[in-house]
Amino acid sequence: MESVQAEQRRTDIGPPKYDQFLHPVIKKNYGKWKYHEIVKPGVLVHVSDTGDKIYTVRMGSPRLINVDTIRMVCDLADKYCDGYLRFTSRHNVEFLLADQSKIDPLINEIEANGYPVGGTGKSITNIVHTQGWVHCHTPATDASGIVKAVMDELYDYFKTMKLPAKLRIALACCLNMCGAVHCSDIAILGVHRRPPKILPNLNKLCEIPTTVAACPTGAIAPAVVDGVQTVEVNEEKCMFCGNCYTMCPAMPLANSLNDGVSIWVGGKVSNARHAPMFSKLAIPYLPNNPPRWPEVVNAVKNIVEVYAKDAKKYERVGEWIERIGWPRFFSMTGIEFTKYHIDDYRFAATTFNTSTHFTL
Amino acid sequence: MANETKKTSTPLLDELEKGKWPSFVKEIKKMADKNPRAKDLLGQLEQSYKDKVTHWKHGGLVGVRGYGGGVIGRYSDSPDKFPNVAHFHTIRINQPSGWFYTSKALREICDVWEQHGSGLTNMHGSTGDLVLLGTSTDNLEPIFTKLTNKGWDLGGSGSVLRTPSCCAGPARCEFACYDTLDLTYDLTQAYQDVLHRPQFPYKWKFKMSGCPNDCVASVARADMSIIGIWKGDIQVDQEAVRAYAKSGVDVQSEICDLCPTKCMSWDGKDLKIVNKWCNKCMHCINAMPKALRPGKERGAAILIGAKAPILQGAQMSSVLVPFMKMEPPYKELKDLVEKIWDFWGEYGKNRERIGELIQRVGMGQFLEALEIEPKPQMVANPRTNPFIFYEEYFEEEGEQK
Amino acid sequence: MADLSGVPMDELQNEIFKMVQEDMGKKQLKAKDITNAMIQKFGEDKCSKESCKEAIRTLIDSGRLVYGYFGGSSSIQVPHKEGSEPDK
Repeated sequence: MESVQAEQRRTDIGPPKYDQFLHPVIKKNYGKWKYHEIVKPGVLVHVSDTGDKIYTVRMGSPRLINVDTIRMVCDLADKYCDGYLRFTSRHNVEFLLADQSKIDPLINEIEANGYPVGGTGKSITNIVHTQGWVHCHTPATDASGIVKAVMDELYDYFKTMKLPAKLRIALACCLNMCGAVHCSDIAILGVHRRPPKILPNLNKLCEIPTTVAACPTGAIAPAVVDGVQTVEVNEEKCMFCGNCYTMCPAMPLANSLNDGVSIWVGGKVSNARHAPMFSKLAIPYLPNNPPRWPEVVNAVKNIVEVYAKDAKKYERVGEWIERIGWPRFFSMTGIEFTKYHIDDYRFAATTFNTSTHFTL
Repeated sequence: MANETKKTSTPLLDELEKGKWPSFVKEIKKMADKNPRAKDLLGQLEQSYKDKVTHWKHGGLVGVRGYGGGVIGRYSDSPDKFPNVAHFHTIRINQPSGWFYTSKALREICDVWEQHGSGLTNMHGSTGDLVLLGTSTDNLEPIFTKLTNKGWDLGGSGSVLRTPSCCAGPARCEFACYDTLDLTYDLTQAYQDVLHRPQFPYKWKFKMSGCPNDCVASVARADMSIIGIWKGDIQVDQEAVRAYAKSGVDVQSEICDLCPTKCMSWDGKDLKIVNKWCNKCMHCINAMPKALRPGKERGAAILIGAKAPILQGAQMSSVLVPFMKMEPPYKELKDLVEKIWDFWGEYGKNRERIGELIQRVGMGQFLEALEIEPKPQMVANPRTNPFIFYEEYFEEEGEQK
Repeated sequence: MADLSGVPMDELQNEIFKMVQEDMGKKQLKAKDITNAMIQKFGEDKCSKESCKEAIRTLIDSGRLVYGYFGGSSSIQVPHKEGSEPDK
């Protein structure tokens, strides 16, 4: 290991100030933007009160990228954008250009490198997702692999703007949900379906009272097995949330046969027209079928296509379903409605239909 | 570290190199050719694809000196098979406001990371940090020193203030009702101590969105969601509305009919807005940005309490302060934040998010502790059950308590 | 700065260290638990939140104590061998 003593150890400096990373045109027109237009899929122009313009070219990224890819992106930013770029909250790269004539050469080079340009307006942009088997200890499925397989299938929706409204997909590989999947047009959520195993060394790894208290349904109780302090799980009460495993490593839930994926629909975070909404259960379980999860890909694609055909302009998935009603959502998509769709956790009754407003 | 050039056989992952969307497997493979950590990551991931379970264990005790966050410990459960990822810790770097970078700054990070880690990153993590994916403990201090000397610091993890994040804001958006980049930078700098040193019952997230479109999903994810809004009238350029109509926008059906408050009407010449009915949903402004702009008096709504489902169910943030001016030095906001942190520190249980604490003690009690007046903007509707904890009553003598 | 009329800083640090050491493996202590215990032990007039905060920071910066992360939350611990839980 080389010595770094020449450099001073500093703490609590915080992030660098953002203004040093702003394109000169952005700096000059900061807070003065008047309007924007989508020039074509993947390209925005923002126009300032001063008449200045800044162009944005949006590039899709797999989120997990290596330093050479970042350097490739940097080379493009140097060549076309005076070195200025940004990333979006959905993992896309945005190149910022002052010169309109450089847009097409930049797009050509991005695409020649194997990355798509798009994700603007009424499109499906990048899937916000988590770590999965790449880097997490609690996942019920992989993240990057499903995202790749789904985006391969929906690629055309990234490159075009032909949907009724924007459609946001998110994936979380377990119920901890690192990311906003619970308010997405379509959410892909990894689920466990079997109670935790109890490893024999539990008493050495975990505080038993904390472990017992970790269970939201009270399914875990202290126990003595072969004279050793441990816990037992009332399997009927377990809803496979995995909180016990977070608190106690001796209670793993991962199960190669039974872990899988659930699909949720109709959430949003924007306030446009309708208030923000949670996503609701569409499909309780699909198997983990790596490397390409065909069942999940087909399920997502089916929902997208039914929505694309039937929704009105500007209607997000949740608004569309609210208009047509859940019975029609299930009949149009051909998704089976089961007892799992009917809530039985806290405040379940608030989700029951108390009207005669429904289609038959 | 010696380079091992023998290729890992990955028949399952190879399938994910096919197709049009850029492939994370290609990203890992390109590094695997020259970096043993990336090579073993590839091998272990293939194993997971075979076994359909993860091969990572719980994190442990790891970090840089003095900090309690910013590094996520990660250990392989098969260190004999994949020795180069036996330790494979994540480093969170606090991203700049709005994720704006220069190529120079990114290259500096790449150089440090190529030398001291797997060369793999997430641009970015869910909370917003620039994530460096996988290194060993002995590299943490050198990386930290090199990064801080280039002006970067670590982000948050554990029971701390998590790295705040924001939308593009006034840097590149005409909808921004306050300076999300500046507020994010200001709060991050002001609260460095609680970002790096765990002092909270659990995590705390701030997310700043410049308008009700909420591009950073603050309402779903942040303990405190700061969402730009305006007071007064939407600014209308009637000429530009007519231009939209001429270019094919059906102002009646696409704008007026979709307005949730039905506050707009269109006679083919002018768009009339009854602004006192407007709930600032943004639909008309989104649809005709050239013609409509938020009102001139701007600030933010402060919402509180969002979280993912573990444990009592997911919550979205709800309104705490309907409107607050958002101008430096943000004293009113900071006073509020610190009051809430005090309350949470005093009454919050271990691993209890603020949203859960408010559920437990009641929003009314919480407001009283914060000395905030109840307002109708805070509820979707008033309560429907009659179980009221009355506190006032008459004594026998007729004196009101 | 610590309150000069209060508990001397090195004594406070030693007490905190002792408390963390004794609770190792039994209870995960947070800064708040330690602060409350010290104020109770020495009295509010001799020991404050601020002095505890300074003492904890000094102990952590010097490496006598470290922050740990386990079971979804952070705590303060005596440094021990690095690693995860024993193998499954």
